[in-house]
Amino acid sequence: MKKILALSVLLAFGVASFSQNIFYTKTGYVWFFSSTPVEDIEAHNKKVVSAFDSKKNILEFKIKMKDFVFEKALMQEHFNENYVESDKHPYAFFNGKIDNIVELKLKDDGTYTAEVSGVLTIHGVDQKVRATGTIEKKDDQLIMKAMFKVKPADYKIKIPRIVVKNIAEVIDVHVDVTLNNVK
Amino acid sequence: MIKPITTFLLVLIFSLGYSQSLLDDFEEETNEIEYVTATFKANRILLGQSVENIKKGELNFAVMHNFGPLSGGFYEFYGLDAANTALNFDYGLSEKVNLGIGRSTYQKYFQGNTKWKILQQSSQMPVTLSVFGATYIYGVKWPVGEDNFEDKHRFTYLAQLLIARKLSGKISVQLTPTYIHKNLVKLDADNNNIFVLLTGARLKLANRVTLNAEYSYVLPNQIETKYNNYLAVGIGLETGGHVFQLRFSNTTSLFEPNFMTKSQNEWLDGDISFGFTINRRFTIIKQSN
Repeated sequence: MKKILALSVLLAFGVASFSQNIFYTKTGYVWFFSSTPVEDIEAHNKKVVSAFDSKKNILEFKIKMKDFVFEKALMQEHFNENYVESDKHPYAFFNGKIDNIVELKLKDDGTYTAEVSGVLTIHGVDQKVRATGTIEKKDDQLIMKAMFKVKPADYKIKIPRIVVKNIAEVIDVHVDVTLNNVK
Repeated sequence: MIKPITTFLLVLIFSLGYSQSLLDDFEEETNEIEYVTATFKANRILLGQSVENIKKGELNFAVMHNFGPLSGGFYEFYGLDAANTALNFDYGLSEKVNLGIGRSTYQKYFQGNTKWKILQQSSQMPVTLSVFGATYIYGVKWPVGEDNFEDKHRFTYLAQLLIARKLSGKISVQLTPTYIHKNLVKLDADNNNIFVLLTGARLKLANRVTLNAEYSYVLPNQIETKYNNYLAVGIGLETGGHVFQLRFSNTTSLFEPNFMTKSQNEWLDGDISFGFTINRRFTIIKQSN
């Protein structure tokens, strides 16, 4: 009897963890671009952590703010110290799903258009967002690309009047991540 | 009697619903050290150096002014007529090493300096530690007819250990033991070697506004008693590429050997000097990803 019980437990765990559907990376690329007549600003982060579970349809991003690299080192310090306050909020997060996942045949190689929605958290503030992007399935990898717009004001990021002409009200955010099938 | 099938189902449901966050499964034990940044907003606290370096590839241009004492009154226009100016250029050679040059109108001093960061405060290191060294050259011509002044008498040397700690997001403190060597001193009784303990602190009032203070304590029996310890308070304002500093102190000079050892004025007598510094940061070599 005990053996059967033990076997059931093992089997259950086995079933739960059996899945060829988890994808992960810690070298994802996210960059943003702000353009005004006075100044163009961009910053690049190539250490973004991201995971996707294609069975449960969970897509997550974890972005360390101090990993955004600016051309001007002082501007990078100001971004962290004064704008996004990374001592208080070291990471930005995205938790969401692919809305049209049933239409995508992610088992087959190819490029698909994906509608993504979820909650984006920057500077400790949550906002519901949606974006359209592409997912390319190639062997054991999923390459996800998207571009969406972010308003700093929506995340309570204060821009002082003296530099308001240097920083755009709406900033373009680009995502380019290659997730590897891990289990 | 627990049926195997019930156990199976319970465990299955439990393990399927367990992961709260997908990324939690990947939470690797990152032994990443978190370094403290921006202990101070500029490479000087007020007149003295801070542990902050100019970043690699960037050039800081500082224009510093110190006026005469306010007690001079209207005739001296509250110190404006006795103004001293200094220009300083500091360059970030690397993340750890800064090189700088400067010139002050006060006694026509030229200055060359270097700052070297040794330790950075982090989750594993309690303080930031840097060393600062400078050579000062007195630029005024020797008095006519005096033959026993030589070039080597123009030189003064300074070495400092800068020890700072960011206590919180708002408060930082620094202790700066200083050694000054003057090749030439006025009187036989004066010491060529002077030890000073300089202290500094800053309080962040807003994201871009700080309140800074400095005090130097000259160890006893080294300089004439007519000189007081240096005490200064000031406000720092940061904008995009500038840091402005407004100061009240009891010294009119701008370079270290003088403001630390020759402050003649007394706060309580109203001999307070107003001064300000404008720092402008230029990016010479851009960072690339």
